[in-house]
Amino acid sequence: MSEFITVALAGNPNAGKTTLFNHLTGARQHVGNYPGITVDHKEGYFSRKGQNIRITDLPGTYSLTAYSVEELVARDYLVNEQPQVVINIVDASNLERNLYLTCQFMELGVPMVIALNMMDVARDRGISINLEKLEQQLGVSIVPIVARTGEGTDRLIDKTVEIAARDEKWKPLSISYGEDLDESILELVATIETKNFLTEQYPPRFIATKYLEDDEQIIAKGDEVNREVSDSLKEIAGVVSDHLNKTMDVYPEAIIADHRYGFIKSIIRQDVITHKFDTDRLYTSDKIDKVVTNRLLGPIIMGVILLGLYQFTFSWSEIPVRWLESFFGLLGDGINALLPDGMLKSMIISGVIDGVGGVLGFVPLILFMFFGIAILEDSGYLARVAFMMDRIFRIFGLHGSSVMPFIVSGGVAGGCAVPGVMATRTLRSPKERMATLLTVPFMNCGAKLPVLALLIGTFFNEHKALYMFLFTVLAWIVALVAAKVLRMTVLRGAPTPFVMELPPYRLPTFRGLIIHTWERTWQYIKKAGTVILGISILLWAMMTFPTLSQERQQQFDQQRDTLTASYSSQVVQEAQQDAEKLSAEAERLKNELETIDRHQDEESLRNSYAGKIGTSLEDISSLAGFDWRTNISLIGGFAAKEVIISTMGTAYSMGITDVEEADSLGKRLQHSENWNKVVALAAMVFIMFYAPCFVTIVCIAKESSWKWAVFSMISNTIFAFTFAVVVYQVGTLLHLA
Amino acid sequence: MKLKKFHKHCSYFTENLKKHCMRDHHCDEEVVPLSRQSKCGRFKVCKIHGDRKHCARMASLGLLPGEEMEIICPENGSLCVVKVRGGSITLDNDTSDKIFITATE
Repeated sequence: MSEFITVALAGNPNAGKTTLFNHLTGARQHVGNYPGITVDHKEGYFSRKGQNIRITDLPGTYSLTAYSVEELVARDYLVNEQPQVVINIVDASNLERNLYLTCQFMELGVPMVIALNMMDVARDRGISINLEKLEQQLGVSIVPIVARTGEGTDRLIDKTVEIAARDEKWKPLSISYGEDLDESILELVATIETKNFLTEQYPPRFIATKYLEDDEQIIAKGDEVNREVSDSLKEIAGVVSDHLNKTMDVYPEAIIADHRYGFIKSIIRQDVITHKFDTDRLYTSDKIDKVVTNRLLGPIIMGVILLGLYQFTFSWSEIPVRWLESFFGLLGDGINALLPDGMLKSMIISGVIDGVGGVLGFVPLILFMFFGIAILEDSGYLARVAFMMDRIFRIFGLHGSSVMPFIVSGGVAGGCAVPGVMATRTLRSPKERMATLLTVPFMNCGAKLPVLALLIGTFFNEHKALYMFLFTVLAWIVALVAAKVLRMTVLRGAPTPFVMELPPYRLPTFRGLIIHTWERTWQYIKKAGTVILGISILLWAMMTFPTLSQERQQQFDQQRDTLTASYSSQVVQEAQQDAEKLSAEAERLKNELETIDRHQDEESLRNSYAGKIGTSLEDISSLAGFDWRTNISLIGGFAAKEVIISTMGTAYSMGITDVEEADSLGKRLQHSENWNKVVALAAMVFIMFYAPCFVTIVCIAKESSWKWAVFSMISNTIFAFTFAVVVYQVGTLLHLA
Repeated sequence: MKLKKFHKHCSYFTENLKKHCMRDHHCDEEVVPLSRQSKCGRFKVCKIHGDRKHCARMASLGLLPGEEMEIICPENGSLCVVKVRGGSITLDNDTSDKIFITATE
């Protein structure tokens, strides 16, 4: 026996594949991408009775024909990787629909074991299944399980190991598709076998069926391998297709689908299933849907649930966020005390701890938000949200499934565009996905919030809540209008039909919630942590180098010396001590020394590369009312929006760079001649809509391409600047400042 | 001979076609697009229009002529929810416009 048994987990969406996968592998799993596409590739390892098993969770599919990316991925994996066993997870409470895919696995001939999941739900619904008879009729081993509780999974794995040990050849099943199609299949199979056409990869009958179903991928493969044979197969398929179309107004795939369902029915009808209750009755899930998806009640319920999600996220994450802040504060203090003054200390504290700490400080918030979203997702409610929002999103050229990326990115204020961009994976249409991916960064993420809170608190203190609400609404309007513009120009194309199966409502398992939450949070930590570290150090360097000339530094030292010399040694000593209560003279000396420090800091910053860039941009940025110091902060915001406040703090020589102490920065801005209400408004619209932070850009590039990432950076900045200029110029013209 | 035996238990589709669809005289009075049906309840699929890929996708979801379905949430200008072969499926306006249904007998 090989070192690992390779097993694939396949089945319909919502059949419980991921629950079983999580149960079997726990944390020993790896999430990646299938090459070239953004469909998750989940692989995990576990062992049973000394046998190591490698299991792959394939995407949920309804068929093995190339109707969607998931179906292609699942089929390609089975054919190319040839796993030793396929565990086909089947929902026992919805047997007929689930066996449709089973039927196709059998036609492909893969070695298979059926995991008949949700036996408990089936029992509750009064459905009893004669397992022996079903096993006998299908000719496939069946193990009843309840993936949520783990019931029956040991037996399932034992059976899997047993099937793998048999090492049998693939045995494709033949199903009749009616006289017309069967005759064509015989003809097609004869040609395929004679010419050995694609037979190394697929069973001949499977290839014949795919030619009849007009499967684009198999036909393209066939054209590539042997154009002549492929053309003759297409001709045979075309003849029967035309005939069926003329006589019955249908295509072969409809007949094939119906015969597959017919095959399943013929098995089920042989006393395999008995229903205790009326089969026509609606289940609890359907009854809930009648209320939850109701035209009037649905949106109200959705509003309450989403509000609850944000309440939960922000109120529960507050304490751990504070703990993390204190932790990074302590870490900074510790390093401050341990290391001697110098560049290394400055880089570690200002570059590494402030930068990375600023981002990692959001982890509890992200964790709680993903936990809330996992509850909505695993309970089945998220699919209903997509269903209800599709009505509005469609107007703007988006899809109902775009709603979650928007909410995750900060649709209700808070959130983060990084997981938001990643959440666009649920969208199937490439153009709708791109439009969503490019517009989610317009939402007010958790990093923009402190900046907005600072500027609103400083300049519009009397209507704080109203302005915050207005800026949230503005973010939505801009994002949706931008999506519409994109869909009418560079991403023009027909909307994708909103056809999806609504999963039944289920009680999520705690284990599943934890795994889902951690999976996503870890991706955030990994991506944010690594990129931010580099950028923070770079920014620190840009704001530090070149340092002031020796001569200029000496001049500042001289100013300090002259000042301290004018006070008695007792006062100087008192001012140098960090005492809480100082004498009036010591207090004055301390303040005067701090003023010199501030001037030195300000001059150092203006002399640095960042300062030079900020100053050189002043000619253009002044159109929107931004001075060189604001420019530096905004450049810093390219790395992470959190950096804006800390950079502004340094740039305005405050010495205080903590978000918590932003009040004093607010006062400084209030007294600054370069700041007023109009400038604040212009700055806020610019911050809200300019280039996404670097981590988001990297994510956009990973999820699409660098071309789109650069497009997002440039177009957003141009739009934001134009908007800010309009706000500033109109505001100034109307004397609103 | 072998082929005949093979066909023996596989005539669902043709049976459905003969019984319920394609024959306009059989259902023309009651047939309406699913998008126009504003009431919940059980209905039968008569015909599915649209391009080949679309029809195939519907077929794989179990939406085939002759199949019975239950409307859980009727179309309200955008989407509807129907229950087919045990699963609840959402269909947008364009899709439900192309599905023609009739009341069950």
